[in-house]
Amino acid sequence: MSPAISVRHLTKDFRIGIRGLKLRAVDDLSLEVPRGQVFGLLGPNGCGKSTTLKIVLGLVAATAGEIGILGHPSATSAARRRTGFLPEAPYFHKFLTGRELVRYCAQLSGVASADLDAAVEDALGLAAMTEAASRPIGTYSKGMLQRIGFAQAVVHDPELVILDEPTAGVDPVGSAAIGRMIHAMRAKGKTVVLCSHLLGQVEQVCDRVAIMDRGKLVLEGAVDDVLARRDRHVMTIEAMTPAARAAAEAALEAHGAKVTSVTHPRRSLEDLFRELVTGSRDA
Amino acid sequence: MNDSLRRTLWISRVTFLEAVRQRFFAFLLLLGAAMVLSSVSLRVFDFGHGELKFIADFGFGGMFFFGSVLAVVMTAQLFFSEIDNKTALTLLAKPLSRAEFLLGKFCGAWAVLGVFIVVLAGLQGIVLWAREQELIALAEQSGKLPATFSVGGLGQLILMQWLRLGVVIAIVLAISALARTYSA
Repeated sequence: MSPAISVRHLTKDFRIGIRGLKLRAVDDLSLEVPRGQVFGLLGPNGCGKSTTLKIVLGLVAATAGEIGILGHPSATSAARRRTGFLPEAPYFHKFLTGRELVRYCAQLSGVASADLDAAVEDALGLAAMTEAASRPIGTYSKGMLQRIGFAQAVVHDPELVILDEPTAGVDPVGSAAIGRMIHAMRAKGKTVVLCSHLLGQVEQVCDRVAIMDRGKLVLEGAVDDVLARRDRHVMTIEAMTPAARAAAEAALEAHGAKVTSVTHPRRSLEDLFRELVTGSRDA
Repeated sequence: MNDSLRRTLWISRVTFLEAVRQRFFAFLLLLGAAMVLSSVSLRVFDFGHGELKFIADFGFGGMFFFGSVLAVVMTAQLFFSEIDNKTALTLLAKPLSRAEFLLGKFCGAWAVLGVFIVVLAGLQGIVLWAREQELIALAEQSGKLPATFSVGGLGQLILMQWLRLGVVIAIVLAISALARTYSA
């Protein structure tokens, strides 16, 4: 089976100014995104990840290289029908209601008239936007804009969903909601490509990651493989007394192991925030 | 209906809805209507031309002026800002060609101008008809030939105004697209 996205030797040069100075945004990039996984594309600003996504979607022409989506050349109608896209900081027609926007996008994506109503309501439900769907988009908060953007991206039931910074500017509660939507897509067997600066979220939701720097791929692999330090171990112990600790350290040293640090486990500020404000959703 | 035409129509429909729901459409429609209605009270400045011709010229002049303002503001807002705000990226990532997108935008904006012209021209027709009835009554009292206006001529003027505004939209679309290309 062909991968969800196949990129081979992709290079993109931009010409800048009247003299046409060359700026290489993507430099001989090759990578494959397997089907049915959540794939994180990471990198600092200007590293070429958004350009790569735009080339994959056929919005920008490549200087060199080959791109395939689900076995089709990118930028073809066949590839686009099976792909959903949420751009970074989306701005939609603010005088349309959420439902009108999702319906419009479903029509443009080729959803049959007979399936239109069900597809729109399913997408709104998945994005938890059913209640606010009759309101004009101009009245939406940033988190709601991202969620309605997610609904328009998945309304035609695509096999591949590309999300460019889906949680940019969204509070932790909204960010967690988007994380749940990504999990729901994976549970349905869809492939999700996620471009984000929120490394904590990427670590939580992604199966594989690729890191780009200055247009080049510097690392690619399964999250567990690239993050695990096989030469270190962490134990979490409850009700440990000083005597128990001394005995444990002695026992470990007797087997040639060395305790290098003992600390109290911390929860993340994001977990604490979500715990405290749970249920306060921006509907 | 083939898929391409259908997609173009959907883009036109949303462009139309987006434009008519904005305040500036209603505002310019009111200004245009005020200009058409004021032509009756300004007819003393007809400079020796026929009174009905003056009313028609004044009304259609206002219609073209405010129609042009609407065409420029609406097209720039609906097209240029859509590219700038990346709304266009969302749409162009769908199975939609750039030609369909552009044509849809043009047709939607032109339809808005069509409504604008038809409403104001309808008002203009009522104003002309009312004044014509007064002039006929005056002519019958004085035994002169009454001045009249041609409904067919009015229809041709409406069509010409709409075509002219279509050219304005096309120019603004071309400038917006080129400006975006060079600033990108």
